[in-house]
Amino acid sequence: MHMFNNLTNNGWVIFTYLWFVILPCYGQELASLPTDYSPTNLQYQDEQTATLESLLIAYEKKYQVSIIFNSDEIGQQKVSKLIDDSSLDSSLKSLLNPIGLTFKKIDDNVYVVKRAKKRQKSVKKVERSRTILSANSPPARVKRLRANPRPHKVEMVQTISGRVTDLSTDEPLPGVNILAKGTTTGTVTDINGNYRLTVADEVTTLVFSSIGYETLEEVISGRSTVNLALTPDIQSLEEVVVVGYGSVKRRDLTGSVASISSEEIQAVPVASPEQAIQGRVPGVQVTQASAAPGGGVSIRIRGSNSVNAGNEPLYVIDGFPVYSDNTLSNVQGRATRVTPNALASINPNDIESIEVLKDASATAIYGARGANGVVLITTKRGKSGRNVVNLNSYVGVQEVRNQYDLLNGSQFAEFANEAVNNIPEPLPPLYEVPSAVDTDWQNEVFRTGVVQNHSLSFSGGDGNTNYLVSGEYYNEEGVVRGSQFERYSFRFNLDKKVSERVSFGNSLTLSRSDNDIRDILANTLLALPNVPIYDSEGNYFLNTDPALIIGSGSRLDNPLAVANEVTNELLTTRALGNIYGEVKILEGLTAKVLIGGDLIYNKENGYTPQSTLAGLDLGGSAIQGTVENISWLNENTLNYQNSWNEKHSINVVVGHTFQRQNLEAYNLRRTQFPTDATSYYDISAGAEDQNISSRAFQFTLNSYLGRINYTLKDRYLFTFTARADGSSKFGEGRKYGFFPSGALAWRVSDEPFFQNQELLSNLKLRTSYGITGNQEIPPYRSLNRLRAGRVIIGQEAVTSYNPANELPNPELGWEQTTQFDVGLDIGLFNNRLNFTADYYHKLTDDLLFQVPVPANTGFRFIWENIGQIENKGFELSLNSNNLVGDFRWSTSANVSVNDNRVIELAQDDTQLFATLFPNTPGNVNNIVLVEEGAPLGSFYTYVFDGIWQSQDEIDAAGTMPNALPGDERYRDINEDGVINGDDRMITGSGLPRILYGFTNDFAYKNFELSLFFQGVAQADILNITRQGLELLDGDANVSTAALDRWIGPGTSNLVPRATSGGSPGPLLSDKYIEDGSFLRLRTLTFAYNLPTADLGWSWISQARFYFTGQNLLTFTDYQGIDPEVNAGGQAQLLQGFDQWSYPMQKRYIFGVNLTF
Amino acid sequence: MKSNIVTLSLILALFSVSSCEDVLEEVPLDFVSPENFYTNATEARIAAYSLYNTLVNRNSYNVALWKLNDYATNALDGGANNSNIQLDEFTYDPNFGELGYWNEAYQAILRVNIILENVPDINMDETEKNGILAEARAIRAWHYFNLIRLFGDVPLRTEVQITRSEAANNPRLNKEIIYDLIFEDLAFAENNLPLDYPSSEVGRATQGAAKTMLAIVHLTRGEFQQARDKAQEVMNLGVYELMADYRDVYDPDTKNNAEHILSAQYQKFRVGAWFESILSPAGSVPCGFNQGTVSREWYDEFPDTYRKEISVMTTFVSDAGDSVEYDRPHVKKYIAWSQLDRGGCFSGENNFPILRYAEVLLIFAEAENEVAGSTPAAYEAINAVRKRARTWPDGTEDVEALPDLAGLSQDEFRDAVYRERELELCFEAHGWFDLVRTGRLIEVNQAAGKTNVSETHLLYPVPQSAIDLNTALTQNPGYN
Repeated sequence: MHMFNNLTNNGWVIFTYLWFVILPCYGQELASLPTDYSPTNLQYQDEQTATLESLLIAYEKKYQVSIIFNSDEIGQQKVSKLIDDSSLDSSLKSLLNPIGLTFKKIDDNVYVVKRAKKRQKSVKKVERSRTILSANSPPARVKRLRANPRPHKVEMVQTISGRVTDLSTDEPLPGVNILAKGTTTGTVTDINGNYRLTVADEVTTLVFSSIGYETLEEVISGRSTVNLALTPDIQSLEEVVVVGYGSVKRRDLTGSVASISSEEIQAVPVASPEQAIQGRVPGVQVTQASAAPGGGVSIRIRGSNSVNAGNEPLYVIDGFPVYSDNTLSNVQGRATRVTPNALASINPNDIESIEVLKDASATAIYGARGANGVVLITTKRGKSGRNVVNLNSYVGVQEVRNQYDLLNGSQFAEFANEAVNNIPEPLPPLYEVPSAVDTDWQNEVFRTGVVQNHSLSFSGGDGNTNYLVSGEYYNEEGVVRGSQFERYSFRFNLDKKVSERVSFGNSLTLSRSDNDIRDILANTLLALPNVPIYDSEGNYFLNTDPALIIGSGSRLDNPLAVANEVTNELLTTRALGNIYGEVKILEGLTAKVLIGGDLIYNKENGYTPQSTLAGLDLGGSAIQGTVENISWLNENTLNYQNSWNEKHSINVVVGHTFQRQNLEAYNLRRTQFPTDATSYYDISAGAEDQNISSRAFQFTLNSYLGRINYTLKDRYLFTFTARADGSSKFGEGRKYGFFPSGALAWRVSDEPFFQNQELLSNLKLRTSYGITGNQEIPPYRSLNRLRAGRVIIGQEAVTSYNPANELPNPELGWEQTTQFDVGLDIGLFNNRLNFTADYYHKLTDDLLFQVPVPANTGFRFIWENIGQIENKGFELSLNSNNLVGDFRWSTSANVSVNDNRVIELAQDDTQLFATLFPNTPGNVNNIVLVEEGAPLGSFYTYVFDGIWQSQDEIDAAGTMPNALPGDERYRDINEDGVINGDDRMITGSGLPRILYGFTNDFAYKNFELSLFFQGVAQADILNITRQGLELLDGDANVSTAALDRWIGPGTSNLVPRATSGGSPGPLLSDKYIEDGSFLRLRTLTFAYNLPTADLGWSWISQARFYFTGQNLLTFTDYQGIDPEVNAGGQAQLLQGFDQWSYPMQKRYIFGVNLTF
Repeated sequence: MKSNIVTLSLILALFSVSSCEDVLEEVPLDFVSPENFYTNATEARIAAYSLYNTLVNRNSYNVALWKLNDYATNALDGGANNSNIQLDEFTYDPNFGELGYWNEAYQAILRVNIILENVPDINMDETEKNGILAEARAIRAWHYFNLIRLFGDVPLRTEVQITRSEAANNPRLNKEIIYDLIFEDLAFAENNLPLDYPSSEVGRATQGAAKTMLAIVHLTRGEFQQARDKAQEVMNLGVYELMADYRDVYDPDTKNNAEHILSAQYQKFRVGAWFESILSPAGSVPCGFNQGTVSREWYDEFPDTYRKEISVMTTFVSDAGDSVEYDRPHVKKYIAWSQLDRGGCFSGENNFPILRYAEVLLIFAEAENEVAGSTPAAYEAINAVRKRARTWPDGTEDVEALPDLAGLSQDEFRDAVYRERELELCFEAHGWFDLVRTGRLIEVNQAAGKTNVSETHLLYPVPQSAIDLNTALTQNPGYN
């Protein structure tokens, strides 16, 4: 006892210290509080004595325990109430000892009061059992034994044992809670489903409950063995859903929250946790920004809200908010199509659940960062009573899904000769026809890659100390030679209950990944097919022949040399974790302090040796760079919950959070190395100091949050949430924003008038309304900035300070999204069929818009709060247990439709152009338009109108006087007789309108088959890869479309002539906008569960062997390698671009999952 | 008791919303804020340095300006490069990719305007302060002059602050209004710029540069008397002279020599020259892009002198004696002989001449001839250029190929100056400017078989991307 008191006191000291020291701004105010201030909350202060019974009842309430005593025998004694009340144990001791009583704690929450035996010194060890009362549950009503005339004796007990199994699989069920009905005495089943429980004689019924199963009450009827089978509950309403700063039962949810369980996550072997969401949750679009190993993912929840600010959801990993900005891990700060994934350092095997918060009621607690939705990732923690070892291991192979059809050596030679002949001053033929060499570069560069993952975890606990430790190794060889992603990660999660009042714990993950990046698809596809791979000496053939340098003069590197010889790796070391301390201050009132850090250290190494053309030109080129990205968090929250009169239940959270991010980066680059031998390791060996740069930024978020959940009569649910956020990114006086929301839900099926029917087992109506914000823009945009530049003065490089290319906007403030949601949850046939529907309407105002300003200002952009965007749509999801029994079949499906529309822009603009897409081939400017009434980021192009067949036709039309026969013709949209910029129009949108996914799970005895389909409909893709492969200038290889090129009147009305130039080059037209709809079998899993119980192998509880195929089937009309492509990465305005994207792959995986 | 204190503290802490703006104040880390910059002479000088980026960038003299000028003549061929062919054949349109000088010039003008707004308040030596203001105004005048020459009427910007809606409705002003600003700027510049700088400041605009600019502006406007006078003033400064060896004009080892008046300054690795890589053929410099293909006829008619040897070639012979032969003639003058070992493409060491003394002599000769006929002073100026052109490093002269001029009529002399400019200043971003200025663009190009060229091409189109954002802009005739 004494030790507990000490610990408790120390806990207070530490806790108080945290509040005083860490809370920014408040230190002084707190310090000025009078120290002797001591309010009291005991209501019977003025009386000196009370009955023992009344005091014990008060303690029961206060400490949420049951105290068993004989009220007739001892309850009416008068006792002094001026006792030490610092803890229950000390209270009881000082209360009971003076009157010859003692007490015994027979369970966590159950105490028995009895007469002291004089010689008894040591408390007899009581068989441990576990109560089902968790700290969060409302206090159970305790049945007292006062009506019983006999003195209560704990010895009057019965012992019941038995085994609990799953009704559908017959497998033993560990962890089932068993409660003696009407008491708080209970236990849980062990690993083999067995239990043993000692209860009072009076107990007649046992209650069996387990998450995922229907709760069952079983009458004991004098039996000493009670075996039972539980029915799986497909979507249990008792399931606990994690929400921001707390958790609620699904039945009590007022917001729109979707959950993904660890089983679903593990069903799709993926490298990074966000990928597990794909196709599982309605309204959530997950696209691979890059299919490369370790490549980035982009997520949109309920459409795109913002033009230039981030559109990615906020990730909250074990309470730590992380905005996944893939560009930040990019050391060079350059745009790359192989975007490293900011979340790829999390081991998916460690994840307990992923919750996707969609509506304002759910996200408003994250106020300023909630507008794009919130993804809560909760990692696994140790569970009491079980020590579990889990091994999950898989190995597989992957290969490219598809390839482009390109010209072979002879076809190319003939075509290129024609191109250089079709210019005003023709060149002689460049190449021999037929070509002696025919190289298929795609075959050389693509390969079959091996993927493997091995994950081992240990977890368990005794109720006071729960732990989970895990380690993981992941290795993926990409389908492009040289590309690879390798990761080691470790996790340590601990929860320690120090006393009834104080607990602490931590979450920590450490990871290290090594990503070898190969962005060489353009090089591979464009490389000339009539040059060899190796020269006569066996070295890589490098095309240095001056005569062959035509066109733009850019020579194509040997793609195989680049794949094999170039070093381009991104190493990421990340520590993400937090520690928390929790103190129960009063009954129902808990304070929590959390301190966390996300420390990311990225290192990029690069070396281009002289065996490549680029390296030959540069004399070898080395790069080293780092990004150190550190984010600190402090959160202080108070949680209060109470219920009274069986009618009212309330849960309040208030808190303050403070987060600060610092980024520092540097970058070194040198060329001209005497030897390739030292690679990037000795950068000083290169010539002179060149291209050394560094950058840094800091931003801070200071927030106050609060939420009230109020439940009336267990069926009318109200939630009010508010958060005030201050962000350093905005202008003076514009930094704070206030984000309120409210929601209500009505559990219709709990109404008395609903009880007399069997069909509807659950019916809930929900609605919510609220405002959330967005602040994901780079810092400092409200400030006037001068950036260092280099200029040569006095024949030496000196520094100049140049204005940034953005006009500062001191008025810059929050972007706000107002969201309305109405939803319906229906459960039929005892929840065998569950159905959820939501309609939402989102309006985003004061858009953070990086508006291009006319060049005549000298600036290029300004960040402004202008315009309004609307997203509205509906989401449906369905879970059905079609067949139960030996042969089981369940289906889950979801579909969502989102309509995105720009409502208005700035006052005098009805359309604005978005930032140009860099490095786009052809004469492409301003191809993305934001226009009122159109979806955000529409493609704005010319309209292809066939091929000019003759000079007469050109002269007759007169719209393109400089064209020559065989050139592309465009439609004169405004019919002014000439083709110019006014003839562009909106020809497509990269935002998909319909998303859907469906899963069918079949099981027969120990076999399981799962088919997961995912699809997108009504989506466009601007295929810039194809445009590049149909640019018939003879510089580079082209697609086989070139075989149908125009060679004279009437030969083609689709593919233009081959020419190295002369007439205005081909313009970007709707010819390259394609239907990006697809349906794909994302995963097929076939698994076998070894019947370990039947085999009598008690040492192993699960052994599962599985095969998974990914992307085995795809149905699409898209002409590129894969319709699931997004070269623009997370950039909102560049959605639906295919630009030399890393090819998507098919995967075949074999794995085993063992649990001991 | 303790619990009560803590409880109360917590509640107070949570709800006493005091000013937390301080923790949210943004502190500049890797940039400086103009509000606390421009405080002393050093910072004023650093501000002045920012002017020179705008001459060396890709969309300025590094690539765009010579492309717009030199393919539009009968000298450079488009080769097999689409954008070069379009320039060569006059088939470009408002979407054309080489019109980026529009953006570049206005970025330069912004930097000038920032200096003009901030530097006057700095407490520093008045002479140096006025020098910096003059330097800024000279650079602004030159960019406006280039804009007028390329695009005609353009929007005028003389202030930093502008709202986006103003900028989006910023119409083109009559070029005469802009010429007024140019003359005002250059008058201030020639009166306040230093004659020269210490070697650590070489490369900045001088009094000679301002006067040369004035001479060219007047010449372009047909104001020959003023052009002659300004050229004369430059000649009288006694600062400039022709380099004896024509190759030394371009050689990195002798950059910023006595002939240079204003050059775009480059240094390998730091601010690399691109024009060398782009114009030089493969096999000559480490990363030749073959875009400097010279018309065979023009090559054949180039008088066979030392100047031709330096300017163009069909065979490249390295200093080590290795040789590469080419089917077609190529530009040679930018091969940085003394610095061939540099690091990769786009990292040339040589400067690009913007204003040089040979041009001043030719301006003088041309203007003098227009004002007073082919006077001895006119002959002296042009013949100085011709003598240097025919003189080999060993002193031998190709007198037969390029004799001193004498006894020409005013018209003959005029043609002779035009021809001399064409040869002496080839590939130096003068070709199209000169042909338009002298009214010969259509004639010369049609004679070279380029049938597309028309009145339309006396101006370049306003970039479509500029019109997209500034709806008040109109397009030049013929491009709609």
